[in-house]
Amino acid sequence: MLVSLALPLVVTNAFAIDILIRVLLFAFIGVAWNLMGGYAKQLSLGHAAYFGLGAYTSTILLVRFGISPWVGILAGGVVAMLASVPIGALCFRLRGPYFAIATIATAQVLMLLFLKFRDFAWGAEGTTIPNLGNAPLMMQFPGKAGYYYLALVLLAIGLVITRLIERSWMGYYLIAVGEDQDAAEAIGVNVPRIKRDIYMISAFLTALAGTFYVQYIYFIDPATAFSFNVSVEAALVSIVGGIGTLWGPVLGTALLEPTSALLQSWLGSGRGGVQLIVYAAILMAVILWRPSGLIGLLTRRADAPEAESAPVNG
Amino acid sequence: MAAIIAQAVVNGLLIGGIYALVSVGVTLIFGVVKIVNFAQGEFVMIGMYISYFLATFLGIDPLVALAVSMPTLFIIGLLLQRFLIRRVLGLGDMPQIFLTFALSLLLMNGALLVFSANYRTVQTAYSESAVHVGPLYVSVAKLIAFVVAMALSAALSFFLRVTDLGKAMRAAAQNRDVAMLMGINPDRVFGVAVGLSLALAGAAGSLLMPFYPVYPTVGQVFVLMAFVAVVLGTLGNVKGALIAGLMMGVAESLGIQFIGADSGLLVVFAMLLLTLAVRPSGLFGGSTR
Amino acid sequence: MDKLRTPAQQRRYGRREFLTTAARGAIAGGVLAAYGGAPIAAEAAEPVNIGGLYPVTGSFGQIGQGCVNAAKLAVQMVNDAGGIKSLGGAKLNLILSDVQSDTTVTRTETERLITSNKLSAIHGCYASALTLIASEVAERAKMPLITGSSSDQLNAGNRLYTFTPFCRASQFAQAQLRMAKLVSDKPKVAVVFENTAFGTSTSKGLSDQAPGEGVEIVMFEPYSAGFTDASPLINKVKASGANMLFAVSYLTDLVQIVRTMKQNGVRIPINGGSGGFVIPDFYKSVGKDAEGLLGVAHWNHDIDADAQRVNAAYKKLYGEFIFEYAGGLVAQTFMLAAALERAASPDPQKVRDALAALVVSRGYAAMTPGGRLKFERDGKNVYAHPVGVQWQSGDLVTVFPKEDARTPLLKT
Repeated sequence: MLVSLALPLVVTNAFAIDILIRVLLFAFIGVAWNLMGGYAKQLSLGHAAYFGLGAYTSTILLVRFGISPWVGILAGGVVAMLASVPIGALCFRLRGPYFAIATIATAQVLMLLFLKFRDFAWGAEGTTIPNLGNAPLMMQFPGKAGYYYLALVLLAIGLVITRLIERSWMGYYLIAVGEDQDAAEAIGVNVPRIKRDIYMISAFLTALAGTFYVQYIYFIDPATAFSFNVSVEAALVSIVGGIGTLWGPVLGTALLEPTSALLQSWLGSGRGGVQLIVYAAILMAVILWRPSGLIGLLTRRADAPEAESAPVNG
Repeated sequence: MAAIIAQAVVNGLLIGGIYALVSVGVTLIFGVVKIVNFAQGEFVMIGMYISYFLATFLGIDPLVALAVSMPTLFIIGLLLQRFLIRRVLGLGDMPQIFLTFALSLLLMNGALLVFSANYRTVQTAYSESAVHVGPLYVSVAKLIAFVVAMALSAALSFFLRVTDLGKAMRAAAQNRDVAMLMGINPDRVFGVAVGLSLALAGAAGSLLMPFYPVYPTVGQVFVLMAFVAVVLGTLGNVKGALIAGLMMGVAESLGIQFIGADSGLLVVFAMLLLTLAVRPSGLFGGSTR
Repeated sequence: MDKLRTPAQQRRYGRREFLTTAARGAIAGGVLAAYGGAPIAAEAAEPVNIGGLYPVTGSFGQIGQGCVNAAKLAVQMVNDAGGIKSLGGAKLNLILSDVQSDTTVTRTETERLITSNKLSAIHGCYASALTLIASEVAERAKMPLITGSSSDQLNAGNRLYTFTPFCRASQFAQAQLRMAKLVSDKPKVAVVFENTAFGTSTSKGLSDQAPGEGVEIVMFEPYSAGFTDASPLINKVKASGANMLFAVSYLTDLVQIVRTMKQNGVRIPINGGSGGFVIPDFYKSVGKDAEGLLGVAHWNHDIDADAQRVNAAYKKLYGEFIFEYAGGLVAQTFMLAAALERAASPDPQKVRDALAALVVSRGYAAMTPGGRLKFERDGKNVYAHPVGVQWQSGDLVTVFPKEDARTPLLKT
């Protein structure tokens, strides 16, 4: 733990720090996803919707009104939280894979809408963050260290929240809903409310990541903000690492991100598909042989079987 | 004005035929095997590449290539069911969703690696010709695609209703355990279902080739349409998927015409969200089990 | 490898330790060290590194590959002519990176390229959307970037390190409008454009300048690249009563548009803009239907004798004519070489200053329409202007404006 804090002081290679920042950021996004997808088993493939909403909210506030992203990041979270209510109301009408499809559709709709909003949200061209140099109060840091610590803090927040929920009454209900929605409802759990609440929390956190990302890469456009890849990665790292566990997403990201970054730089110019092939292969391997995630390999307790007694009907 | 609307509707129906074909494939797998095949679009892509190479190196017209792409994909479907799908049946949503999802990534990027991202096209004698029906222009290639797509869908419908194997599939779809009691081998039935579904995808690929370019991610657009159509047409309902596919083609076309050229998909998704809000079980009522 | 182990180690600490170190972290977090790239060692000898960022894979892959070919050829040419004489004949060393037609990859790769190598300058990325990001990174890293991308945004916002020696999107627009008047007295134009930076910039130029040029725009439609079917779009064009179509598109969409127009009997002249129109693949895909179609370009292989020489060399190696961006790339490489000569140093800051002060009117570094180069404060070239091009007998020839035309414009 101490090591992680001292890292930026030791690692001078900007590329390596960039990998670490991505690990932290995507672990955080994975943790946010995991609350919904891992514990409550609501498998969303559209979390990019909230990522994008967070990113755009803070950017619009910054570029159009000069408001600091420290305020914007919270505003983005709130916007995402509010958006998740009607989106959830619609999507939760479907179950299982069709819920996933509906979430994909929502993220796509948002992307299409933002492609059209050329006046206040720059449409397809997107916009860059004004170069303010060294401006920590505006969430711009001269070197990587500032971003590193911010990402670390975000991940810490995500982990703390997950742990708190895990240990609370909400955690029990989440798992009950995840195991068998109908049975949970039958014994009196307010299933719609639980789903709505966890969705709001998950959306809020994901939006924070969105703001961070824009501030880090200096640029936003609808394709990047609502990128399907973000949705996929959010789910992927949790599944590979350990779905429904605290550290699962962290493990998953620690495995996948550096691998993909290194692959990208080794194969540099030419082999664009390889990295995703590796991701896909790892995902398939995990699903076929260790559906509860790789974290089972590291903790000594026996694998909790992923199998449910009855196949889910759509 | 009437001519413009009519043309838009015709255009929409023609491409809608392809959407319908892909949707029928998706809904078939879902109805029988209860799995959503996220990789369906990639099988369309494979069908397209098969047709492309046959056309480019052997001069075989893509429509003739149907005779190759369909059986090939049928066999791939059998293998898919046997080696992959079977292993995640009954394991719950997560493995089922992400298995086909991973497969989709694998196929897309495998194609990228092998074929590169270049858009490839096939030029046939009829690729550019169109028939005039009054003030309307109907592209010949698309018309053929539409007719064949409808014929294949009708054939499938017939198969499901009339033949023993088809009835066995419907039985297994409705209630797997009882079907087993009646002596139906679910594995075999599932295999055929997946095989047929992929064959339809392959057919869609061959039909597309005369007027559409092939590239590794081409399946993504079609599969998204297919998923919306399947929900719209009620999960597992073949006729529903067909009609919904056509509807969506028309809606997209009218959306582009009257709202904006970048609004086609928006209209489609609006349809999805509207359906969810008002009638979540789709146009054709209660879901078939 | 330590970096890979550490996040895994994180996992093993329990909650208590986590919370106490978090407290310590709050204090430690006050320590911020500034990190820039590795300091550039004073290199008196060879070679000089320049970076090239192009989309070799992904949706722009085909074109990106062509750009890479040209980049390599250009470096070869510079080195064969003796390298950078003021640096003792130092050779140029090209370090390439594939940005995969993706904005995020562009961001990481640009940074990686700059920080992992001692570069003197970089060039890229073909597509305006990607170049904008590379420019952001370059500005912050204080690394000069030279590019042929046309988006006007590249000259906005007080950029000091971004240089655009060729014409801007707004100038393309003006040229297209003027060419329209050559074909028709009362042009009624339908404009369709792909909705990313390239299409939006150019089309904005069109709508801003049309009234001033006496051209009426009757339809103005952004579309999402990669549509399944161009028929609805063409249907709209027909309905608008336009007598000319301006398309601002990349290759595949353009091919679909041209084909679908033929299919639907919409026989109006097309100005295919730049982008996908000016590459050999367009003719290969569309065939004879491309004959007579007009477009615009920031460079063409017949604009002067130097261009023709480059074209001959490229054709020998790759079997097809060198297209707009690729040819411009060769000029850009020579501009960098000229700046290095002037700076007599591989230091990026000095190269940047040399570029800013560069004035050329001879040689490959001036291989632009008009043949002169001088940068303004915002990175634009004072003398840059586009040329109008037309497909004639399978070749793309320059037909506009009069001073640059190498072949008369064919009226169709």
